[in-house]
Amino acid sequence: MRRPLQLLAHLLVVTLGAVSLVFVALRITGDPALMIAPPNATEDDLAAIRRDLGLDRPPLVQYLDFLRKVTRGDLGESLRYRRPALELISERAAATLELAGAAQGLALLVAIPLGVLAAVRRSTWIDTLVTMLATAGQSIPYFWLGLMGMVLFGVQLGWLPTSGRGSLSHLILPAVTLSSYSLASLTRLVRSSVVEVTRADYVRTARAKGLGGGVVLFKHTLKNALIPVVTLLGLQVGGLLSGAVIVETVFAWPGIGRLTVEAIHTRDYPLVQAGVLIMALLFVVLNRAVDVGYRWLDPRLRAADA
Amino acid sequence: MIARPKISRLLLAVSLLTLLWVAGVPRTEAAELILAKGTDVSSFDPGINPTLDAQQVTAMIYDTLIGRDDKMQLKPALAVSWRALEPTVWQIKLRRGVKFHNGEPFDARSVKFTLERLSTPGDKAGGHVLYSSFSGIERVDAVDDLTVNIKTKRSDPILPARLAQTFGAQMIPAEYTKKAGFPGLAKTPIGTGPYKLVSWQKDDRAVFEANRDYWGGAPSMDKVVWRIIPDDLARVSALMAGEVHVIVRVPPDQVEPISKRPGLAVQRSVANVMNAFIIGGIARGQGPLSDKRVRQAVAYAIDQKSIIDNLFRGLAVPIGQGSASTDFGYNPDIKPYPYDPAKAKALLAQAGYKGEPIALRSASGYISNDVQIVAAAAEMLNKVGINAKAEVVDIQTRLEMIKNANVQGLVLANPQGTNFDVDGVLWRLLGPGGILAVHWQGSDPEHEFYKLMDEARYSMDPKKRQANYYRAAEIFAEELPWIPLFQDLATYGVSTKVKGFVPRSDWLVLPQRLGF
Repeated sequence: MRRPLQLLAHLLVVTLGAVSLVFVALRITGDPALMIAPPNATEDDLAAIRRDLGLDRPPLVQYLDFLRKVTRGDLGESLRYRRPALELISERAAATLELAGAAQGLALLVAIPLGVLAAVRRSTWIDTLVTMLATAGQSIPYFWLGLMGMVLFGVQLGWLPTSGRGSLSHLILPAVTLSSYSLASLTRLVRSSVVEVTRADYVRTARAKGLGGGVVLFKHTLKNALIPVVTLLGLQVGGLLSGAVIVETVFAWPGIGRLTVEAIHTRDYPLVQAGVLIMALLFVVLNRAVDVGYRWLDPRLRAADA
Repeated sequence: MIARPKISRLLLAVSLLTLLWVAGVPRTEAAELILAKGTDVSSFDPGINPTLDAQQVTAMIYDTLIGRDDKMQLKPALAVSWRALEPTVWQIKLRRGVKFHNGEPFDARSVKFTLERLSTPGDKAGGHVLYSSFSGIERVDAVDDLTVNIKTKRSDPILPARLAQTFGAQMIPAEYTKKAGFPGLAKTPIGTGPYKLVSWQKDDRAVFEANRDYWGGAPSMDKVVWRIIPDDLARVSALMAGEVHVIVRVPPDQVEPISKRPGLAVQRSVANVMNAFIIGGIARGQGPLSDKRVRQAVAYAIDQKSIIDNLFRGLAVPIGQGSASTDFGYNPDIKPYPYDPAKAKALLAQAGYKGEPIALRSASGYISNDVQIVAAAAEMLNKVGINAKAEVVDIQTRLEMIKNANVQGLVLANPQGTNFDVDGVLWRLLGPGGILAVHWQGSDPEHEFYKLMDEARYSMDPKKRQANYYRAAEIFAEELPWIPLFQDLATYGVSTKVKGFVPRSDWLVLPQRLGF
């Protein structure tokens, strides 16, 4: 029972902290009425907009009202769209999950074999090439990689759609772009982890027993070498969500990241608050899930808990 | 002992499942007119999101009473004629036989309902934001089904222009809106326009089908899709890859690559958006800029052509007065200040300028090339001996500075009108209650400029109005209550497959006129 309660407390502290911070930050940096009003609006128009949106009330009253509503699952109504913020976000959640899921899946599918290959063939040209590519993947910014991919595969070669969401082919460029960083860091981690495990006593013992190279690699080396990979996956959730903001904008991908960024530009308080709340929740829950999975996979941690 | 799946297999299975899941997303269809722009509409209630990008979409669903032709001259739309019965009463005759998409007839009740809404403060009328344009309306009377009399509080020569503004003056159905409410209208829009909304995936695409019964004739394209592609280069790429047929706003550096590509063209028209440096504190005698000779020196010192050529690849037009060339009352005889550093230096010497610092402020990314414009201008001012410094402030600070009339130094702005009349920009900003009115003595009721502008606002004689505006433009050019820089061009990237495209100053695309 201890862990679920702990998780709940963790959730509460992180989300309340994040949302309160956003609540204050938004209010000291701008007035949404100015963003909503047409170019010829007068001060009376602005006052009417503020009254209409309840922004003429003292900030503390707005904050308490906001918290009260959150406890009932009401994240408020978007100022620009005049629709419930939660509804807007849930409409977009599938797009972001699709993109982030595909990116992470791709990263895993490519990084593990690539990392293992580099480790097994370490100090050869293959290792050098993989390490170089991984370093490049970690240093190239998403927007640049995305635009280059778009120009090459979309405009010059005409193989893939340049932007938007629709068929599987629409997903390829954004997913590859978003996967670049985690693919690169996973590859490097798998490589170093496999290299390290290969030097471990039990691997030497396995070899000494006369086991074949394949059995040693998959049964003894890889299994143990992948444990840190699971930890890294958890850490990458935050990176994926922030990367999605950029990739979604470049590729006109209608996800939560882009929605939140636009909401920030237009000072759409409830929508930003709801976006941050959902992302914070997602971050905590996924991190915890990885944590739990990690304990489940690594007997040493379970033993430590007992 | 608990059976443990192998980690590698587990990870593999998760990845494969993810790929299988995303593979199930349906494919899009072809054979339709596809248009792309940067930002989406936020609501389909025309009264609540009056932005340039939103009106391109709302203008497909709804019509205004009065329209504008490609030269921005007023023309009949839902109204067939309009005339002033007396200075405070405009009579509008409506088109016969027009129906909303749901079959509700368009008649005097629709006009009365729409205009009564717009002349009521927004917080009491479904949150619309157009009260200042329509607050002059006192009463709307339905004389008969097809005749409406609009009584204004004071004479209002600009009312027809207000009724033509695509910023939210579109007619909405009275019966339907009373039943569905304004949120219902926003969700399921019903207008008299050439297209009906079929589906909307926010920030992705809005799909429209032709209104076969459109009063202006059935559109030739049955299906129109507006795609939202915020990144400039991504939008250009989509055009080059043949995924879209028309894009709105071509970045200056992409004009040449698009023009050179077979099957594509860049179309342009002068737009009703100006770029200018606005000045604060003139009336209060604050700082060197309160001396008009210093302001004139600034105008002589800024090389508009160089800014336009280098930062905008020639895609802008220098301007020397406070209103755009697309506005009624723009004075074609007034030329921009020539680039003349020597004259600037002489004026500064006459004014006794002693090197007091002048800040040139702008936000970043709010106006195209804003940071670069301010940096270039500061450099140009330095060359004639003005102690100018470029400063980047955040958008909100800039807005607050302008709104609270607390402008210090020069602030880069892009004044824009909504009704193609000098009154809509110049007198909105410098007239009573205008955000720049406190800065300049021309806004004092005794000043000639004030008298000219005030008289023109209420005169029902177009010739008189034009004469007043011409003279007011001369005063502006001499006094420079702000420093005009240049007028934007509206740019469109268009596939040559598309027939009938006309680039318009009001940024409307009007897909009902387009065909393959």
